[in-house]
Amino acid sequence: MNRVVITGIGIVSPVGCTLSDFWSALVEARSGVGPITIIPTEGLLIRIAAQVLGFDPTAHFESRQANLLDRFARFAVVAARAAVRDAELEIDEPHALEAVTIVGSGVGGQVAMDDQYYKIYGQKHSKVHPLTIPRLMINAAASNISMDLGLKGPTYSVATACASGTHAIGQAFHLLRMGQVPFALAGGSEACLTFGTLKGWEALRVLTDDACRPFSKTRSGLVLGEGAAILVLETRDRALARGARVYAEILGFGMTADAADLTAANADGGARAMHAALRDSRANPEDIDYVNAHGTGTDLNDRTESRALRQVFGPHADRLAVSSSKGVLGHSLGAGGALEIAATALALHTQTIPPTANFEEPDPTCDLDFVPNVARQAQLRMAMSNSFAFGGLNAVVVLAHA
Amino acid sequence: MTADILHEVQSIMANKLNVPIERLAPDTKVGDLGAESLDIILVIFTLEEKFGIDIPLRAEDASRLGSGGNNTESENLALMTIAGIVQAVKEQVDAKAGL
Repeated sequence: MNRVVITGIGIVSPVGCTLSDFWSALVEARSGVGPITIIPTEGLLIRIAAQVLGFDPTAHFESRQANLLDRFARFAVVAARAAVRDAELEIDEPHALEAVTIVGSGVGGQVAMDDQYYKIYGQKHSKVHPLTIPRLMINAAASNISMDLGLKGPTYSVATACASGTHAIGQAFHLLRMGQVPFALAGGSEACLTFGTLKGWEALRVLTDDACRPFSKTRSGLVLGEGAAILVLETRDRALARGARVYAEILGFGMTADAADLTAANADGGARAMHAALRDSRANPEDIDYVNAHGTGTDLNDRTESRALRQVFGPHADRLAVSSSKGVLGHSLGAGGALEIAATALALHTQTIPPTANFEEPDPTCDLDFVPNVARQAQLRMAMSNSFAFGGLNAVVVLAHA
Repeated sequence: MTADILHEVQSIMANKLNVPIERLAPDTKVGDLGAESLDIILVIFTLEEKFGIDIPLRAEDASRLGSGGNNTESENLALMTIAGIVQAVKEQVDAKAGL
């Protein structure tokens, strides 16, 4: 079996579209959450989100290509190009024929859907834009990356709501480990801040109207976000042979289903996914120094995840550093897991634990070391990244310092 | 008016939670009816639509009210019993009427 490493990271995020902007905001706990400005907010009860501001498609695409792509696919292509540049990866024809592209998205082309459906339902137009369907299809992100970069191997999208990006990276990792492919582009992309989607989240009554405060006693719900993260994954042999810089090694991937509640987090399902990822990594709980938690900032998720972590790590839980990136990045559904795996890889690469932003007060039901507000230098050997999705779908990746 | 609201609450809950209407007395606790968080959000949404009102409820409180949560944590929640839900609807209906 091949060892698999991360050699490139491309980011489109509410705190910037370069790796250094992304990482410095996470380390400094600088939140990308603010008043919604990318759409009109009249009629919205919740008017904050973590938006990718100043994203100018004309800076990245000529008009014909831009016209083909929904916002979520634009994010994905821009992140993929950045990842390839970051990895200094040459895409030559024999390898392009085998290269893998797997991209997660929770809800796909929501901007196309919202705009065009408003035309027919709201404005009583008789037609929608002819590109409505190719824009909204959930595989548009993977397909457009493949076309943009000429990648011709296994290419598909993964839709597991808030775990999509993690499932995508985990699946690409397994394909590489089995030795079937030379390199992969994998990650997640989401642009879900539309009027219709926000109303849908409002109706679920899980959004907060002030700030996302994961694991803090004062937490009051989640804040939606958007963005994309695409990683370049390669076999370690190939990366070393070409002298590539390695951010981290991917050791294992575990996935489970709760088969319980549609929306409520489930400690047992999350714990089984963490165990599965540890088994897949041939690692013990004691080997993990840091967990990038799912940590949404809802009462139930954070309580349940804390319990699941105790269940998996036992006494070692008291020596474990745990943080959530969602206070800074918001919850970007299918992109969330990919952005957080990128953060976890950077934590290992820089030996720095990004803190949990907006942490105000410890909660007795979340009794772990959440690295509140201030980053910490630490010796990090292995780290875990958790994603727990609506529909009871859990995905966990284990990374190692390389 | 309150009797009408009670009847509406009972009939919506019987339908959404799939329980016989006879089990839905005013002092019945929502958490004893096998309702999960999402069921309670659906019941409240249906009442809001029916009466054209907004009833404040956060998902975490819904999960505490439901059997998925710990009932003792819901002691202070106004929507814990059917009478509490009726009262919440009545308050919003009255507010809407300017009473």
